[in-house]
Amino acid sequence: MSETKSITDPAGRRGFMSLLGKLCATTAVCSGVGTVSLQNLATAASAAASAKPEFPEAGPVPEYDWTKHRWAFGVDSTRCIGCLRCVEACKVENHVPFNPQNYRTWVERYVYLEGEDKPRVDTQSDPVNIAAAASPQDYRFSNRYRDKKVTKSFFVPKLCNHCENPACVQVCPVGATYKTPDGVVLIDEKYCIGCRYCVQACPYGARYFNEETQTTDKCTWCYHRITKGLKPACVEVCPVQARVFGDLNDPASDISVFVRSHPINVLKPWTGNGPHVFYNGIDGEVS
Amino acid sequence: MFVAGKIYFPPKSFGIYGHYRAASVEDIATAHPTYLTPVSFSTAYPKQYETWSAGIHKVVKCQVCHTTVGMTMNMASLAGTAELSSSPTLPAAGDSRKLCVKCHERIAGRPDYMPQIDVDSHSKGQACTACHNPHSPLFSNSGEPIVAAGGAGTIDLVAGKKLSATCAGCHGPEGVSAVAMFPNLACQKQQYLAGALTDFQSGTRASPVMSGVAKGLSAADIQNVAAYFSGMSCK
Repeated sequence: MSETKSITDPAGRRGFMSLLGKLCATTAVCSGVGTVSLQNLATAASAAASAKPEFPEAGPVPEYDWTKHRWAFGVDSTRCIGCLRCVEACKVENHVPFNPQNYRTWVERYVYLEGEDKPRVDTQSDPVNIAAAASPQDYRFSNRYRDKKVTKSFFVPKLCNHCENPACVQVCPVGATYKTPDGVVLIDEKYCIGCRYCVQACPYGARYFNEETQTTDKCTWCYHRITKGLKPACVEVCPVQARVFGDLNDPASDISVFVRSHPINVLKPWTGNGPHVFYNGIDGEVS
Repeated sequence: MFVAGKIYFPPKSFGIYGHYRAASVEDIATAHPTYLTPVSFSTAYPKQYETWSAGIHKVVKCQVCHTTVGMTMNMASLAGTAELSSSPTLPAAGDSRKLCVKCHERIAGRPDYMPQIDVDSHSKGQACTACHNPHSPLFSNSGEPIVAAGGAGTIDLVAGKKLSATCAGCHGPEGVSAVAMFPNLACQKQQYLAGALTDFQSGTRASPVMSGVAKGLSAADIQNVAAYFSGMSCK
């Protein structure tokens, strides 16, 4: 009631805002929820958290403390054999549509032919590679360079970089994508409105629009697995340990050892996103 | 109106940890894993597990092949529902050429350390499983070595694995030692390992510890355990 009165107040918007401020200050103690809509998000969060014991400090996942982990991913390009078992495992594990154009993780092949100074790049969704596969559910790299002179070639597995400052989170108009304290960027499928701003904001092309659910989808580092102590599905199936995953807080974890023992790089560092997928053995051409 | 709307519309758990729905984290985290670790299948398929875990394909976990889309067997769903079948439907013989070449066809981009074949000239139209045991591909289905690996006679990797338990205390269960003064055995040449054990046994090479260990081994044991460690990953 007092709100409608203050709108008609001759003092205008400024007067209304100051009145609102005073109102909030007095009511903040008894109604923490009210302040959520206004300036003081942080105070509201702690007030609401203390009022709701089902959302403890350790995070909303039972038997898992998200303040104790800092997950990160490593890719050893010198080991990848391009078998695409990771792509297939990811689709099975995460119910990604089985068409070659939708994927949470993918593998790129960089091939330098004799006399050419730019690499030729193809992925499993390249038409030639789709034609080489036995069925639309099957993925493989074709032997298209069989009769060419290849001077250098390598595979680069790619996935969501789970950035420190994710551009995709910044542009979401509804708060349907967010970063958790353990370093994983997630999408709230129920809350996503399907506007696809985030798909365009990601400098790595890691997000795709899922036509089946009408929401954006991307890699979660298999959050349902890592919170249970398992490795992501792609890491679990990789037959050559080209994919490494672990907790940076644990100096003995696979990823900590990988980061210490290899000259590592990240993709497009100049975008300022702060990727947390670390690469070994990639050219500057890879981005 | 605006304030009332902002209070009314956001879902219950919105804003507790940040600008998002806290309940969605739990929604994502409670999904059921499909891919399991190989140990999950060891009791249902003990024979295959034993062969596989002793061979060079032990880095290729069960579901790398057995949940391949189009293959009829889905071991994860079997294990998940506890309806384990003792005779799972294996990939059809003809499929092995489609499956094995995913890793082993010689194509641009595949690094040299990976064993690769030119499919047509290598298999001459035969299924891969006609010669190779897919669980341990350096051996045939009847257990004969396909690649003669040094010593004479048949190498028994399963026996080698059993013997390796003695070595594991110092050299690590995976052949990678945790202590600086004990050497790694994984990836070491089979002939070198067998030669070293023979020398320790005869006393040509002096070591109170190793001589004691080697004394109890037969010539076949030495070849088996050497073959086992030489096939381990050096990671």
